[in-house]
Amino acid sequence: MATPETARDPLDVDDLPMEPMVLKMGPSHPTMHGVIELTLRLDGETVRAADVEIGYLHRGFEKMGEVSTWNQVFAYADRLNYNSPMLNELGYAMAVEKLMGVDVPERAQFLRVIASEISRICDHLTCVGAGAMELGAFTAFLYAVKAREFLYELLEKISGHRLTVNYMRVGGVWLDMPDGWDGAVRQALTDAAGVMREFHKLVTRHRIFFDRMEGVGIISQEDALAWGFTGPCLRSTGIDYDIRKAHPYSCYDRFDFDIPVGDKGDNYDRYLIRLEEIEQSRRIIEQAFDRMPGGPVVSSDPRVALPEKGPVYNTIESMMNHFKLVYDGIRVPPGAVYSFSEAANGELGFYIVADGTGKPYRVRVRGPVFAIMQALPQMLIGGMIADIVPTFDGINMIAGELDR
Amino acid sequence: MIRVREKYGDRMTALESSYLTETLKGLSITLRHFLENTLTRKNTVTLNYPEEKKPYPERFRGLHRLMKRDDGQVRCVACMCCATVCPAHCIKIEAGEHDDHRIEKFPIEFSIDWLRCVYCGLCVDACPCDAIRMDTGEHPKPQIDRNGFLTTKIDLMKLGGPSVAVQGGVRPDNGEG
Amino acid sequence: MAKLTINGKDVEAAAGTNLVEAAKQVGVEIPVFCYHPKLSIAAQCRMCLVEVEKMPKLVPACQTPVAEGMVVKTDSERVKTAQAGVMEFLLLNHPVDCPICDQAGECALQDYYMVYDLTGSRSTVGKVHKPKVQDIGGGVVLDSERCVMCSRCVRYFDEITGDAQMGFFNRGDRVEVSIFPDSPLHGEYCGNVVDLCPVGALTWKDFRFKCRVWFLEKAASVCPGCARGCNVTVEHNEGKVFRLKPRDNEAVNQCWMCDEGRASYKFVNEGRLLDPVVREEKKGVTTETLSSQRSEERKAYVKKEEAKAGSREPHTRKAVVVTWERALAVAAEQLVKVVATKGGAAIGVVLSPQATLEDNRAVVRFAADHLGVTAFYMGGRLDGEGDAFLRLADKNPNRAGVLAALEMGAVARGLAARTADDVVADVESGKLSALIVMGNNLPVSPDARARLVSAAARLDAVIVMASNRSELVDAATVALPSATFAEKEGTFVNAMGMHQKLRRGIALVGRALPETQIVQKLAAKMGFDFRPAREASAASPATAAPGAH
Repeated sequence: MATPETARDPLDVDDLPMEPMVLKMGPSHPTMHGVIELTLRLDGETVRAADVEIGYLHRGFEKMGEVSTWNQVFAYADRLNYNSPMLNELGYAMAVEKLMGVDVPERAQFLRVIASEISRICDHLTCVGAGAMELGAFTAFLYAVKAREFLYELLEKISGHRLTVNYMRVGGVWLDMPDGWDGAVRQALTDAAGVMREFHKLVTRHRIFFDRMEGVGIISQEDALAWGFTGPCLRSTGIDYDIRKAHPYSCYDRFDFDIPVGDKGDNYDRYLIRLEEIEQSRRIIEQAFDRMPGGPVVSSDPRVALPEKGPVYNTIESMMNHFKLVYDGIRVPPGAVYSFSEAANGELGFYIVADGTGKPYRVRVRGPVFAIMQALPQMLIGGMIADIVPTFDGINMIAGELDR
Repeated sequence: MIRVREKYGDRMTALESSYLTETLKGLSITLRHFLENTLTRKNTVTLNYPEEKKPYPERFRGLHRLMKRDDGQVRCVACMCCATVCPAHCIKIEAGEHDDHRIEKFPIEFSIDWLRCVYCGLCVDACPCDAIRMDTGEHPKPQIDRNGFLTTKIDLMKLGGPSVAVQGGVRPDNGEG
Repeated sequence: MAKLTINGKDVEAAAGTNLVEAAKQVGVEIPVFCYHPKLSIAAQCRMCLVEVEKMPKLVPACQTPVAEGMVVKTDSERVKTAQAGVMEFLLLNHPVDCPICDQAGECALQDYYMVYDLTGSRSTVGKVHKPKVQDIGGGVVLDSERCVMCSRCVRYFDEITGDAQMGFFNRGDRVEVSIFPDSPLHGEYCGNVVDLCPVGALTWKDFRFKCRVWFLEKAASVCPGCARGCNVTVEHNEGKVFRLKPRDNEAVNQCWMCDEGRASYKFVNEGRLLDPVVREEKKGVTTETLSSQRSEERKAYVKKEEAKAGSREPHTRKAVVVTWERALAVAAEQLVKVVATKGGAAIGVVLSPQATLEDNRAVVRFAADHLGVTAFYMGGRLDGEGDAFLRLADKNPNRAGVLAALEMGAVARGLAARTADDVVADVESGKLSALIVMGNNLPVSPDARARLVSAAARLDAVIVMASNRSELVDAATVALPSATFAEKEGTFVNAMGMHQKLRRGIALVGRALPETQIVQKLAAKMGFDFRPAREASAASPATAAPGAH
């Protein structure tokens, strides 16, 4: 019999019992950026609440810093932000040198900057490429990876490896650049720029890409500052702050480059900033090669750097020096220092405490992504599940840097 | 300071919104690559591994090798510098007395666990007598079980060449004692 | 007393103190090669040259006594140039031996180079070559090229041992320190000369190439070799003890030790009883592989046990490696039976002067208070040779501790320790039906040992707490692995009555436990409420030597 209940429109769902769904996204999830677990409370597709659970890639970097000698930590520092290993090594080396008061030769500084900028480009390529892929543009991803491949070959030529470079040492770098490397770098950057032009044409003004990135994952200037954002995420809100300009370190004050800045604080801004930073890094590298001085690539201070191999094999003085540095380590006088640099994602800080022995007492890493991830729930709430993907990509969370 | 919205464009134009220009632009790029790659192999980046291989650069830090003296004996004197400096603690050396008093010390056993190794190259830096190098240009090969990665002195010496350092610091070229 | 200034710091030192010692008082290090506080002053290395106001030349600090109003500078440019100069001279002919030299890690040349030198060599001629790798006897290896001619070894044998066994030969840059022809080093104190040598010229044969010095961890302990109780450092790495080196203690051993004592660490590494073993009527052997250490050694041991146990007449008990739970259960069962049928007086307890005061105390309290034991015996090792310097004939570090343990307690026990020969006699005569033994063996002749082993076969219970394998362990009904001096904290009381503390070096080997814990667990198994008491030791802490802790 037709009753008032059954006469209702079956599509009328307003009084059906509904409750928000709690969905755990992660730790393995469809985006590429590292292991993270998001607990989402969903109302249909809309995110009503989000919580971030980190620590899945915690490997005890800071603890290993306490049991390793000063130069052994570089092998671990590589693996922090593994997309841009040189930047991490630079940050750590600068901290130790600041604490010890070691002068790094100019040529080493230049080589460090060039290697760091190449690493930065690699990181940005990975980020924009992965971002495109997660939104469906697989071809664009492969183009970005192709461009990145040209640069990995350069890193491999100078350090021996593509990712686990172990290139820097306290007081300088491991070896001078091989012959023909500057030509190879310039060529690779030209090739990569060509590939990225195609990438840009494929993706940047495409409506699907634009619609998914624009207006999504917005953070305001005040909130960004309050959360402790730095790097491209901060600059996407319009704040013009880059440590290389604000507190120049190494030899960055000698180069001409611009800081790209966004407007709205959304994903599209972050994407464009990263594309532009690739260009600016290229400018820095070209200028560095033009102005590269000669000289040694590692400090000549015998308390810090291993002596040259020739004298080590043949003279007792250098042999003893070598032995003391190997088994005793570098004796850093007791003290503490905080040193910060502009990594690919923002301010990478190293707080180092030395106790006078050959091993650090404490190595604390301020990962740029840690502060940014705190704001992730705020950026996700109100959006849809599909918006999580570009937002999460735009932050470029690297679990190695976040969890250490 | 560069305002990226000004440089790259802000709002979508009508043409861009219609998908038309962008689609055509994109397809033209991919079509060009497609035709180019079908007709020539000039600009393809894919290598048909293992038939085609990209050579490792000179500085590639691969599997280790132990260098030899002029008479073929191992150059290593078991000073333990490499074992000390290794961040992964993967080098195990047992030292022994050598009959020749000019050599005095040599490794009875020298084993590297190539699975624990992180290929950082600190052992090469730390060696005071050019006894260990990582310039074989080989990467670790896959193994069936973990023990396959344990190498011994004999394995490591297989690819060894003459060491440039001579015991006691006599240079081979000027013969100065 | 004289008041002087060193590097701007005020120092007050007794008259006759040299500047090296005076500088130590304010934390200023003056580098020295030939100076040693226990040897005569040679002032020949010139490394300790310092600048003293109003003296025209730099003076050797080791030879200059303090004077009122002295102003001493050890960090002026003149001094630094002198130090670098001395180093340069010493390194002129020094062989490039660091990779093969055992001294790396404790080498004065290496350490001083990094602080006082850091310059290169200006020599353009080759180095002088001298004989290397010479076994000069006494467990010492001499390498003449590495010698810096400080003469510490020569003066040591002249002044400390008094037998003048080493001397300088040849002159100029060909000078060599050596033994006299056909006269290798003899005597029981040759190892000290290796400690004295600041470089790798004199090295210890027993330690040669075993382990790099910077890998070694150090624990302050007491030598278990004899009742002198020389203070030592147990140097170990990854669960193995590599050497014992003397620690400074003016009241006991100054800074020396004897060669016998240096070798007394070996039993910690070799021939250990790793697992509890029970001999019972069982077919077959069950081996539980609980300990991951030395499993091959253990398997071989168990196999040997099976073979032996199978062939022993008249019983058919087989050796079985078991868990602690099982071993303690069997021991408890056996002891309960003996106490019930024959009383505590039938149990003999052999205490060990090789174990700590605390271990012996625990065993005494458990045995006397809970089992009703009255027959206590002194175990340990047989006497050996003593001399006028450090060695004593009593080769047990803690005899006084065992005696103290027997006297301790709220109620004076009136217990005495009879000799080990009495153990053999009492077992043979049937006076004892059970034995609890601390230690690997009894200090009796080999003949008496054999008699004991065969007599023990007829006892109801032979419970041995031993660290190393021996015939006594083989004869036990329950053998419980105990910890050596290197694995426990405790107190040794030496022949002078000093309480000296042992610090733990390595982790417990195999499944060994200190006797204190063994006794606790055994008592718990038997249902007693037993907790080792925290009584003050019978001797006052004032007799403990400074630097002993």
